[in-house]
Amino acid sequence: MRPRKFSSRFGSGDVAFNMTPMIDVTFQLIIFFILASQMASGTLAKVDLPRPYRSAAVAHARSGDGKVIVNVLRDAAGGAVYKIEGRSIAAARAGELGEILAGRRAAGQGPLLEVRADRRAPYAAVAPVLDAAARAGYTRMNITALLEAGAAP
Amino acid sequence: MKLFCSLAGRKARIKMQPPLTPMIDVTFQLLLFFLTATTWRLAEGQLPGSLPDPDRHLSAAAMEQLIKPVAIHLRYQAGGAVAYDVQGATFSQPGPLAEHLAALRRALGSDEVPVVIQPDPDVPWEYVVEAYNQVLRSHFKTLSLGQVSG
Repeated sequence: MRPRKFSSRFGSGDVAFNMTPMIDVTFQLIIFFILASQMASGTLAKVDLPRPYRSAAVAHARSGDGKVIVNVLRDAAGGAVYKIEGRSIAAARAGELGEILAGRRAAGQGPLLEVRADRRAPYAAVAPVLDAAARAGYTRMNITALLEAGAAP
Repeated sequence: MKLFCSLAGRKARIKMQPPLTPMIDVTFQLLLFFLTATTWRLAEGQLPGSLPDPDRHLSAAAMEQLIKPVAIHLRYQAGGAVAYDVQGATFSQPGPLAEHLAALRRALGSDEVPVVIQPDPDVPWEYVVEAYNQVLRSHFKTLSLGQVSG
């Protein structure tokens, strides 16, 4: 780019557009979005969780115990969608969920299942997850709920 | 901090300064991004449980020997609320349900009596979790969720 000439009361000179900070910022943002998008589409979907009265829920570590997390979300039509490790499965294809759970179990994950279901999802949409997990050899399950206010995180 | 350093050469002394402007640019960009992009997640916890063994089948004689469970039936009421039916008593709020379950456990004299939560298929999950939570709070050891009926 050819430098432009300008003049002011301080005199005249050549000015050039400084691209360095812009490139710095662009690269920083690209790297951040790549990392952040992977985290957001991982195992924890955004779910409106149940908030039970005097919740007996206890905080657990999210990783390190090989558990499988199944998210049950409500879709726009009022039906349910299962989300497991970033993969979405319609409730009508619950058999596919069973295959995935069995595959994870065969790969050495489990036997703990975590159910993160939307509080408004009907029981008929959550029960197949428990049923499929039991058939796939999972022996323990955790139901995710919000912690009581003031409880240790 | 001394920002200038001198390089002694044979012919001249050159003064150098690190360019701080791009660094400050990036810092402010990232600060603003994190301030605007941060979302607060509510603290989550776990209600523990176990799943049944699908290969385990009890004989009829063994079934008869099982302790009769405490059944909690969840059903929709008129107006959209959900009722908890526990052995003839009906509750619409979790507090009285928890008190009733605690009294029931004391009357039974054992926490080994199994509790079965049987929701109707269209009952929202939050009510199922509510009943599950109150059973856990009442210190019953054996708790199960019924299969979808109908």
